[in-house]
Amino acid sequence: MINKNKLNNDDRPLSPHLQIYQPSFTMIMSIMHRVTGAVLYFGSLLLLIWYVSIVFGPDTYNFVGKLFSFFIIKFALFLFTWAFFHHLFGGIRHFIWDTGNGFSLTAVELLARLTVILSLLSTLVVWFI
Amino acid sequence: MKNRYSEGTRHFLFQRATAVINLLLGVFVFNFFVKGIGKSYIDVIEGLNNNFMWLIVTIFSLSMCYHMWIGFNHILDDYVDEVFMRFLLGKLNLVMVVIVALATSVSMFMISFLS
Repeated sequence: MINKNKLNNDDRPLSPHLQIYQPSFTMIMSIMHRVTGAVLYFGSLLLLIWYVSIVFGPDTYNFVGKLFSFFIIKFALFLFTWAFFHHLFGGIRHFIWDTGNGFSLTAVELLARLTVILSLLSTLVVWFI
Repeated sequence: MKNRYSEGTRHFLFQRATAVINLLLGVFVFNFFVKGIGKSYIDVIEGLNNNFMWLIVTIFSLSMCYHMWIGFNHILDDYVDEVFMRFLLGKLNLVMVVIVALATSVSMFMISFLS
């Protein structure tokens, strides 16, 4: 294991970071892919709680069901679902890039827009249809 | 793929392989979850035993956990500079995904075979 800290002394220049750049739509979408990934990481515990509550029997299951039906928590679950579809379509975008296609500015913009639109639509379909 | 220099390539490939599984199965699992909230206990048990839903949930969870493990390690690599802290959080990450994967699998087996 190389100690990275030995290289991180104050004399070394830092590469430009987030605060240097003017935020752009595609940049925010890139950040959102990581943010939704992290949200899903911790959100997986919500799915786990639900699964385990089924094993514990009707009483526990109904309690968790009631908890998940509270407006605030239900809204959080809605956002959780949106994070899933956002990450899903963002992932498809990455698959397209893996083939070497979709790197032109217009394509990148279009793919980013499609990610937002399709993820929202899918979330609404799963929740309300 | 034995030397550690190929580890990045392996993670790259597995991240994509698990992504395909997550994409195909995750839609069903999330749909089942969202529509299952507020459903009666008997309906949910029946739903899990229909069309091998319990198996879909299990495979999705295992694939998702591997995907999460790579993804979160990647986040740690990017933002945690201190070596020991990164090592520790990496181990916590492993504990977290193993718990989710194991608990989900055991739950699903119990629901499908014991109920």
